Amino acid sequence: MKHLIVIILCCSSLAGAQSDFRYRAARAPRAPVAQPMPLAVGGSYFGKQPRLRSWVQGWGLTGTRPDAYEVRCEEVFTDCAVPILRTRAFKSEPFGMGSLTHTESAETWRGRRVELKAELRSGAVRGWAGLWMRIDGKDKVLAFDNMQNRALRGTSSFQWYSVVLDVPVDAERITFGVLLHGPGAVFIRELAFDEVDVDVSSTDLIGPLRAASPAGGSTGGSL
Amino acid sequence: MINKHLVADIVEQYVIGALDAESARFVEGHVAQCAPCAKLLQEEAALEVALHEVVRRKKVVSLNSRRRRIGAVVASAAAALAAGLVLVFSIEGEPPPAAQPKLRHCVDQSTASECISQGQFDGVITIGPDREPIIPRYDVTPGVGP
Repeated sequence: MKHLIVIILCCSSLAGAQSDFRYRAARAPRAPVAQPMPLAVGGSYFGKQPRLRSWVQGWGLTGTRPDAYEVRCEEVFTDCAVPILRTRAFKSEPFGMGSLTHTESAETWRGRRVELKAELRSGAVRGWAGLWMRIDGKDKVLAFDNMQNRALRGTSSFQWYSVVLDVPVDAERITFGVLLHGPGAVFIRELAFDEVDVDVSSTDLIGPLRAASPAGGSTGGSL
Repeated sequence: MINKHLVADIVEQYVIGALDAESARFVEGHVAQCAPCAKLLQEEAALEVALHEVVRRKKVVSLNSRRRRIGAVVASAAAALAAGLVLVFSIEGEPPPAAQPKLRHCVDQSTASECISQGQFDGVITIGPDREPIIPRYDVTPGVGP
């Protein structure tokens, strides 16, 4: 049975009401019935922008320097158009990175191949930006991709990007998001998380590196 | 009469070249008819120039320039001229983005700890002294916890 979670960050019309972005989580029924995507109220990072609360529920701003980053609406006049992960100041040189992050249980996805895809564009990104996803086991990272080898840089138009990972049977958590390193902004027009067929290639960056290591993947990546 | 004004954030993005072409054209069209927004754009562009210390010559830039940031100056110059002012500077283009991030190899035992810490801080995959990949954690903030 097809199993599906879709999270869509929808652009609202210019005449949009309070909920400019709709955060949708839909799953086809299967046994056992999975818990819906968590809908906790967004963190204080978004407290001053009520429109963002509607779609960042269950998401958080994390990273090595989250204080240097923020999530905002791209505004023309007074209406939100596209959520943005950006540095607090374009003209400063923040170090570290920030991420708009979501975590959920891997239970529903075990034995499946999943894809995080988003329509993104970069704005004056002087470091790099991208999607990322990590599959955690009990005490080890099982798969990881941060688009480090195909990052968004500079200023670009909207394009679809994706990361695809397998969820092993011993996976416990799936964590994913949008990251930004250095000054600039990432515009997130749409974002979705879904199961994909096995003919869609995995983009795991860690498996090949472990296989090439002397230990052959038997160690490393501890949590 | 225009009774809505551009927000500072969109103007700032325009100045630094972060807007796409359609949005940039919208901003340019708006400031041509809106004196308060033209003034805001002018201030943002001037600030950008001051911060980058690239005032090189006193000359109104070409209206045919394709560079967005120069376009910001052009738009504000048009508004300034309309207000009886003369805007006399030009600015450089946006600095090129960094190269694609690469795997960081921290195989030297004497510097591995510092190298790995920096790699984690920058959010890139590093290769440790044992040749194993070390995966950055984006969902944990140092000193804050998950």
